[in-house]
Formats: sequence, structure tokens, C-alpha cells
Amino acid sequence: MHFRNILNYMFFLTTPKKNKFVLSEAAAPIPEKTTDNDMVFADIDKNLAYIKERFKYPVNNDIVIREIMLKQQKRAFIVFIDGMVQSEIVDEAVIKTMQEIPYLRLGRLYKNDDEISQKYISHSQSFSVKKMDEVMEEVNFGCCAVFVDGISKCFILDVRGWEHRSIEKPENEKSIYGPQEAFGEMLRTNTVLVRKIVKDEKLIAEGIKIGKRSKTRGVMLYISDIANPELVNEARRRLNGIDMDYVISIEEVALMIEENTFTATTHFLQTERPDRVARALTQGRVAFMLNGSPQVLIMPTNIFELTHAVSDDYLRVPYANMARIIRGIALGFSTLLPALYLAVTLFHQEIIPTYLLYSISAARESVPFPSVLELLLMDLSFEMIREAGLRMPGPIGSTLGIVGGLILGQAAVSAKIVSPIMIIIISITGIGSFATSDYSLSWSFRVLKLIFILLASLIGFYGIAIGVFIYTLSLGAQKSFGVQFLSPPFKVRSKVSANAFFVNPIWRREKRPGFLHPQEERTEPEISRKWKE
Amino acid sequence: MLQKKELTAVLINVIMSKMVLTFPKILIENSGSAAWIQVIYNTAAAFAIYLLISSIYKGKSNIIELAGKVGKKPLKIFVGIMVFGIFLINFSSIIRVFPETIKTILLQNFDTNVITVIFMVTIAVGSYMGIEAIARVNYIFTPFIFGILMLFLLFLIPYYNIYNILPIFGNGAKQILTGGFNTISMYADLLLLNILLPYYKNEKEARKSGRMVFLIAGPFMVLIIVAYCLVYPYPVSGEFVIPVYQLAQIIHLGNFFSRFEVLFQFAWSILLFLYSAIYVFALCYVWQTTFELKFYRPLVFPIVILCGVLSLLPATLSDIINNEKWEIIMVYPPTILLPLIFSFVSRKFSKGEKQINETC
Repeated sequence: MHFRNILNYMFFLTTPKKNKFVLSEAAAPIPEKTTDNDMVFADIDKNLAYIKERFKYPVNNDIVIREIMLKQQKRAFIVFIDGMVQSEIVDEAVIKTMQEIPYLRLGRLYKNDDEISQKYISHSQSFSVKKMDEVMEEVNFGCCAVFVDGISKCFILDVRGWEHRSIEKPENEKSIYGPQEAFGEMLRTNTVLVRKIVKDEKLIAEGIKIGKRSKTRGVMLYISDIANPELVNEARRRLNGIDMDYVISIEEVALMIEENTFTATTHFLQTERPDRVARALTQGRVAFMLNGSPQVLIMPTNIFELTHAVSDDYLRVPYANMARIIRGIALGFSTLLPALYLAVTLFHQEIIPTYLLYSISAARESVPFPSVLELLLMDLSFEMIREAGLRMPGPIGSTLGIVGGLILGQAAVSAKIVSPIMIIIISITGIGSFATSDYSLSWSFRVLKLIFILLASLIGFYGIAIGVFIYTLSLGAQKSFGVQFLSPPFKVRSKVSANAFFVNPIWRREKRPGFLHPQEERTEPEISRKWKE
Repeated sequence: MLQKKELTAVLINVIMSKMVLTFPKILIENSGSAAWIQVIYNTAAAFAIYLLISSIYKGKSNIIELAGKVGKKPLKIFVGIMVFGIFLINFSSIIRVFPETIKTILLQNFDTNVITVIFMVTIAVGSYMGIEAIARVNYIFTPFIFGILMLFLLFLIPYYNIYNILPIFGNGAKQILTGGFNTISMYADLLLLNILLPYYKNEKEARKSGRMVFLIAGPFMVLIIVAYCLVYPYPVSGEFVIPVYQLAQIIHLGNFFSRFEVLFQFAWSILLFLYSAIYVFALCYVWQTTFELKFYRPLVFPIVILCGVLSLLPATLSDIINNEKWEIIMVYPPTILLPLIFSFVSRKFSKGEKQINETC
């Protein structure tokens, strides 16, 4: 009998467990009646019941509903979310004030209810709303809602105050010189970081809410008398055109407003530095920041600007140019070096000087794999180490890099699985990819590298030339917010503030980038160093 | 609407590309060591004709559009097909010559057909991206390509021998003046300037663009031929199929830079990809304008296949080169005559256009 049970259990009839949970198909949602037209009632009990229902109180246990008895036995209650408000302010400026409001006795209140917020609420930001949906939205965003018996309005007090990171140093866009502040997750702190650099009343911080349910707050920044109005309108149109329930981060916004999802390269400049945003705004661009995201999107941009590092603006001209040249070479290596190696070793051995050819052949002599496989194996290992390093906590990540890179590489060479020259090729390629200033661009070159490897392994240099031709043409066909992605073509002695290849002295950056078609073209006069006259 | 400098780069590219293929051989065969004088002569003659035509031509309509205005549909179709034919003859040999050269230089173990198919797919994809992308990429690549060509000419200095260009008039002044006039067809591609006129902001910019082409491409072509004549003595110089590549091969700069032609090959391939993409686009555009089609993209692949089939008609590479001599004779008279005839017509219509603008 037992044996049969075991047999049944193992192979035939699995005995169903009593509490085994199987996720069944969700029942069709009961269509909720729309809340668009729900207004605040004058009757406080109705308001209380409504709020409890909407917030699923008390199941929702971080919702605080506090009933207050005002003078002359008038009833009121406040609603807020625990942890999203500053408790001291709620205690001092809201509850205490309400308990002490003197004129409730005078009977004027019901005729002129706005006086409460104008005269007696000792808090900087307060306003009243009539719609229940607006009440919900504000409470969800950390405000405190005040309902008073007999008043068909709700007072919203901005008492937001939740835990957040302080302003820290930039993590991904480091620079020895220049400001050392980075954006955080707080929207207002981020706008302040930009405002304190730009200091111009024409800097507009236009509020935009994204997400039907989340109503995540964002801000579109631009300088109204510099940025091209068409660009501003287009950015606004796209941002307002996002129709989704929840928006979690700015990267999702970027994905929703970019023109082409499947191109290898991003069409935004994404930065964590307020100074970079400020510089972009003064050139006539538009920036977008979202609450909860420590990154800001700058639009439009082009392929050349994605290769620029923020440190270029703070270095002396010769140093900055040298850095750009080095970065350019690194970028070329990160994309083309493995493909060039393959093309040379597989198809065009004659171009290698004889002595180098001998040493490459000697190094490859005992490797059993063809060059392509050897390269792909090493590249895959490198990419795995990189991915693993990113997911590991700090100290373990660097150890993993050392173990993976040095020890594994050395062991692979000793075991004659790969040749030493391949280790060199992969290492230079990897370092080149790390030297790329924009994270997204470095990703795109990692993808392109594989395409070039494929082309080179099939038809050598001819394939690489085809790849370069098609890639550059595809870049030429792309646009970032109506601006050619391959603009501006270079000019060494350019007078434009954003040069494609080389850094210009600051006194020669007389004009804003022409491709942005700004309202005001000139940034400085012909002679901006008057002392030289 | 494209920028003037981008369209100028396109025109420079299409004219210069001939010089890095078989055209120098044709020049050398005619004038011997005086091929460079023939280029100067052709440039001067073409420039004079260009100035004449551009001084008469008015407005932004190209010859196909003008033909439509004068003779309605029948004339439009006739002129359109004629232009299409000129472009087809001018271009189809490239589809054969380039892959043959790639096979000789880079991929000896590959079948030419495979290289040709890959080439055709590449240029089809290229022209599919549109003239805006092609022109912009042209503008970006052209300075690099010119830089590499300049380097190439500089590195050849140790191999120059002044006695190689003697006698100065090569096969004789008469030969240059009479027999050499046919090679004016090196500027036949300027017909593209007329066809692409609607892409210019105004006629003034188009005129300037044309002048720039002569000022930049002309001296460069003379320099290339002078270098070739200085390095290889006549009649040896007439033996090589692709003279410029032959020059790149002899450059030797020590152990590590013994193979300059690798860099050259790269620039050369990109130049010819761009050239071909422009031509395929131009062919599609001519067809689209002639038959008033809404889109040009569906035409790309059929036209590339048509060019490929035409290029396969000659049996060998030497047949192509021999045919090319006839092609240039066939091509240049209509490329001069068509714009000249329609330049008079354009004056009439530009007046009409002006009047309409004024009344508006």
C-alpha cells in the first residue's frame, strides 16, 4: 500500500495538497464608477466616510486620519500619509493652529472660507480644492488635507518631508574641476540646484504630470527667451502625450518620447550634474526632470555631444582637446579593434609587418580554436565579468574584476585556450569602452562591436567598411527632436559654443549652436576680453 | 532642403570618385605623359560651359520638371528617361569595376558574384536612407578622404621623377585638344546638380555650389594625375587598371607602415559606397519625378538589380574599360546639351514664377 502511494506520488497521481496555492485567473475587475466629478461635501461625516473608502482605511495602515475638535465644538479632520510629511509642522502649524483659530466663533467663516488659509494658516504653501480627485493626488504626494465641518472645500497644506538622499558628489560623471554636486531624488531640490546656477527669471520650470494613476510630477526646464519655442512645444507635446498608468523613472519617460526605439544610440543626453543641465539650458536646450529620478534628460543632442565629457568644460583648452582625442581613440578601439584584428588575421595577413606576423602566429600556434571563436569566448567572459561586477557590492565587485580579469585571463593563456594577443585585444577594447563618457553610448558601441566582428569575420576589411558606411548613414538619417543627429558638422575654428570635435577657448564661443535655432544666437560679443583691447 | 555645403560635398564626391577608379587610364592612353594637361583643359572647358549654362539658367526647377512644363507629359517622360539612361550608363560600370577590384585587392578567395551582391545590398540600403543622410555623411567623410589623399600624395614625394612627365605635351597638343575633349565627361556628373536643384535653398546657392566643385575637385584631380605621371613613366603608366591603387601600393614608410594602401582602401571603399548610394538615389529620384510617383523607396531594389544586370553584360573587366571609352563619348553631349537647351526654357518659366510671387 505504502509502496503504491509512493509510486503514485512519484510518477502517477500526485496527491493534491490541501493548501496548495494555485493562482487562478483574476476575475474581471468590477468597473469602478468614475470619481472625476466627486466634490468635497459640506457635511464632515460624508467627507470622512468618503476619504476612508477611497484610502481603504484602516487596511491601508500608513494613512493617518486625525479628527480635531475646534472651538465652539466645530469638527474637522486632517488626512496625510505617515512618513511623507514633516510631523513637527503637522503638529505645530496645522493641528495647533486649527485648535486656536479664533474667528470660528464669529460666524463669518461660512461666507468667506478662504480667509482661513489667507489669515490664519501659518504655513508657506496652502490652497484649497473642491474636487476629491485633487485631494487624493495631493495627499498621495505628501500634502496634508484639512476638512472642516460646513465647508465644501478642502485645504491642502504642503507639509511634504520624506527621507531622501542629501546632495552628493556625482558618481558617473566625475570631474576634478567644476562643481561637485549631483542631482538627488527630490524634484524641488533638483530644480533648485539648476536655478542657483542659472539665476535667471526667464528660466521656466514648467510642471508636467505623467502617469494616469501615479501622476508622477516632473518639470520641463527651458529659458523662455533663448530656447526655440518650437522645440519647447514639441518637448511638451511628447511629454503630455505619454499615456500609461505608472511612471517609475525618467528612463521610462525617455523610452516613451524617443523617436526610434530600435536604433543603437540614444537621442538624449542623460546627466546627473546640475552644471551640465545649466549649460545646456543656456545654449537653448530643454531639460526634463522627474520626481524620484536623480538623472535629467537634455534634448536635443547629437552623436558628437554624447562623446563629450563634462570635464572638458573645466579643463584648459590643450588638456581638454588632448582628453577628447584620447577618448576618440578609445571609442574607436572599443568598437573596431576586435573586428580589425579578425580582418587582419583572417583575410589580410599581408598588411602585418613580418616580425609582428611571426609573433602573432607563434602565440596562436597552440590555440585550438579559430580566431573568431577565441575572440567571442574572451569577449563573452569580459562582458560577464562586467555584468557581475555591476551587481556585486562595491568591494566584492572590484575583487571580482581582478579575479576575473587577471587570474582568469592568465589561466586561459596558460591553458592555451586563448592567445596572449587576444587578451591584449579584449583588454584594450574593454578599457576603451570604459573611457566612453556616456553610459548609453558605451552600450551602443558594445552592440556595434559584435556587428563589426561578424562583418569582419565574414568579409574582412570590406565588411568593416560596409559596417561603417551603413552605421554612419543610419546616424545621418536619425533626428533628435527635429535636429539632425549628425549635426553639427565640425569646424576647427568654430565660433559656436558646442563644437563637435575640439574644445574652443571660452572667449571664442560666441554663438549658441546653430542647429538648435535659438531665439538669441549670440552668447558673447566679438571681443569678450575687453582688457585685451 | 539640404545645406549648400552638403550638396557640394556630394558633387565633389561623384566627380572625384572616377579618378580613383579607371578614369586615369583613359586619360593616359589618350595624352600619355600629358594626361594632367588634359585634366586642366577638361576642367577649364567644363567650367566655361558651366558658367555659360548657369548664367542663362533661372529658377529652381530641374530639366525634367521644365520638360513637363514645356511639353507636358510626353516630353517630361522623354527627358526623364534620357537622364535616367545617362545616369545608368555612367553608373552601372561601377557596380562591376568596384567588386572586381575588391576581389583583386582584398578578397582573392571570394567569388566576384558574392562581392557584387554584397555591394548591391549595401548601396541599396544606403540609398534607402535618403539623400539627407547621404549628403550629411558625405560632408563628414569628404574632408577625411581628402586628408588621406593629401597624405598619400605627400608620401609619394620620394618616388617622383620629374623626367617621367616629359615630354610635356605627351602624345602631342593636337591629341590633347581634339581627342582629349571627350574626357570632359569627367564632369558629366554635374548633371546631378541640375537634377538635385529642388533640394537647394535657391538658385544662387546652386550656382555657388557648382563653382566650388570646380575649385575643389579640379585641382585635386590634376594633383592625382600629376603624381601618377611623375611616378610611372609612359607607356608603363597606361598598363595599370586602377592607377591610384597602384600608387598607394608603392608607399613604404619603414617596417611598420609599409602598407599604406590599407588606409587608402578603406577611404576608397567608403568613397565608392557613397558615390553608388548617391547614384542609386538619383536614379530613383529621376524615375519618381518623371512618373510623378509618391515614394522613391520601392524603386531602390529594382533599380539596383537593373544596374547589376547591366554591369554583368561585358564579359571581362578589360571589356568594361574598353566600353568605358565609348560610354564617355555617349554621355557628355546630352549632359551639356540638355541643361543648355532647358536653360533658355527656364528663363521663361522663372519670369512666370516671379509674376505669381509678386501678385501673391
